[in-house]
Order: sequence, then structure tokens, then C-alpha cells
Amino acid sequence: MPLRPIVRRALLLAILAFTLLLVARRLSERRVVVQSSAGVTPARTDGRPTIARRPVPAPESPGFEGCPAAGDGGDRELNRLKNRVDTAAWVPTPFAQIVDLDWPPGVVRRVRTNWSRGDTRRVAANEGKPVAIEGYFVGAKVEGPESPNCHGAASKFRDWHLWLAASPGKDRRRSIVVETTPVIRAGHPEWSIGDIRKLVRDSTLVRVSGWLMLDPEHPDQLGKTRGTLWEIHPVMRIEVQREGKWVEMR
Amino acid sequence: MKKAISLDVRLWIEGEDEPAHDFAQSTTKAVRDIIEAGAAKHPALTIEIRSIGERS
Repeated sequence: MPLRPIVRRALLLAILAFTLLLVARRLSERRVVVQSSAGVTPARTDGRPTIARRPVPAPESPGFEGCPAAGDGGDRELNRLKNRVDTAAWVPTPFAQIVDLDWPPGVVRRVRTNWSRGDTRRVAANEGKPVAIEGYFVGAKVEGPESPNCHGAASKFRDWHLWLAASPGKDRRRSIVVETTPVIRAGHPEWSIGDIRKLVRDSTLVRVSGWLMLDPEHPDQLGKTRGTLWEIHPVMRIEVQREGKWVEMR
Repeated sequence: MKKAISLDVRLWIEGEDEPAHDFAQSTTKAVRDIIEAGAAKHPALTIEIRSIGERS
């Protein structure tokens, strides 16, 4: 039986509206990246900032002195990221761009295997990016024993927890936590926590390069001793500005 | 008079273990056992472990 013209028109309109809805949803999920002279900078298409879209390499994590990359417990996926050793071309990224990155609320204090697929996708849009950030160390401490380092009691098994801020001083409220790991420090015997504390005291401009990683375990520190849950972890390179030139930290 | 108190106790525990073995899990169990065993020496007190967690 042929459809009445009015019914046919209504059907066509419904199909058109459904198609438009699908296209709009697809567009809102896309994140466009804009090239600038300073490198790659993000554009916002869905209200959420993202940083440079580049292929994210799979982390390489061989472990350290008998401690496997997954550590001895806790969030083993997170531990593998913390213990990665691979290197990359570090992308200069403005400090504010990292500190203003968001994260899905559903991941906070939750191990990665319990994240939803959507949350995993949102974090993956930024995690594992090789970044280089300029700033000032405003604090440094040797961490306690932790699961990524198999709870090793010796100091060589401890992370160094460093606070990077946009301006020198002691204010950590808008800082980014950047951490050196045992396996990376084993390749940098010239790094010392004492020298980093001197950089804090001297308000020396530094450039820290490494892998961007979301650590969802410390939301309680936000606005107090960190400005974001995003970290550079592990730190792969530390440069210091001396007489207007970047030199490796010695 | 019946009294009650909530105590936070911070412990540092060291020991030999296989690198990949879950040290947090085994030490948490050990602390539970230690408290339960010690509670028996104080029958006048009712001791309830409300939480034990690794400090991070």
C-alpha cells in the first residue's frame, strides 16, 4: 500500500534528523590539532583541551634489579607506565597546557582495569605523549617505598617526587608533579637530589622532558600540593638554563 | 564509665621478600594477625580493626 505523502515526509524528516544527530556526535568527539610555528598546539572542539596529537608509542618497561615493570602490587598497569624506559623526541609544551588538562572523574582513585571504556579513551587522548615543559622546581623529596618499585627499602629503589611550577618560590598549588624513577636514574648517575634542591633555592629555569601520565591516586592533594593529576612520569631528561642556553643537569 | 578511642597507628615494616610478591598484601595480613594476637592480652578492651592501608 503506498504511503500517504504526509507520512512519507515525516519518515524522511526523522531519518534526516537521526543522521544529523549521528554526524554531530561524531564531530563533537573529534579533536583537531593545529600546527603552529612553535610546534604542535591543540585546538578545542569539545570544550576539553588536548595536547599535541602524535602517535603514542607503546611503553617499554624491562624492570629494574629483579623488580618487574608491573611492580609488586597496586595498579599494575599504572606501574608499567611509571617504569617505562623508552625515549622520544620531546615536544615543547606550555606549562599551562598541562596544568589545565582535565581527566574524567570516573578514573579517580580507581585502578585502570576498572576504568570504563570511554574514560580509558579520554585519558589515552593525552597519556603517553612525550612532552618537554619549562618551569621552576619548587620542591623535591625522596618518596617512600612503593609498589611500582617493589617496595624496595634502599634509596636506589625510591622515586624522586619533584614539583615543577610556572614561577619560582614555594607555592605548589598550581604545580605539576614530575618524578624520576630508579631505572631511569640508573642511567643518570650525575643527577642528585641535592643539586635539584639547589635549583629550587636558586630559582633556576629548568626544562623537564618525559612521558605524560595520569596518576589518579592523589586527588586530595589538588589545589594544595599539586595543580593537576597529570604528571611527567618518568622524567627522562632534565635541562638547566645557564647564560641563556639549555644544558644537561650535572 | 565506658570509653572509646580511635587511634591512627603508623608502622614501618621491613623484611625480605621476593621482588614481585605483593608486599602490601602480606604485611597488611601480618599486622591484622599481630593486633588480633595482642588483643587477647587485654580482655577488658574490645578492639576492632576498621581499616589498614598503605600510606602513599
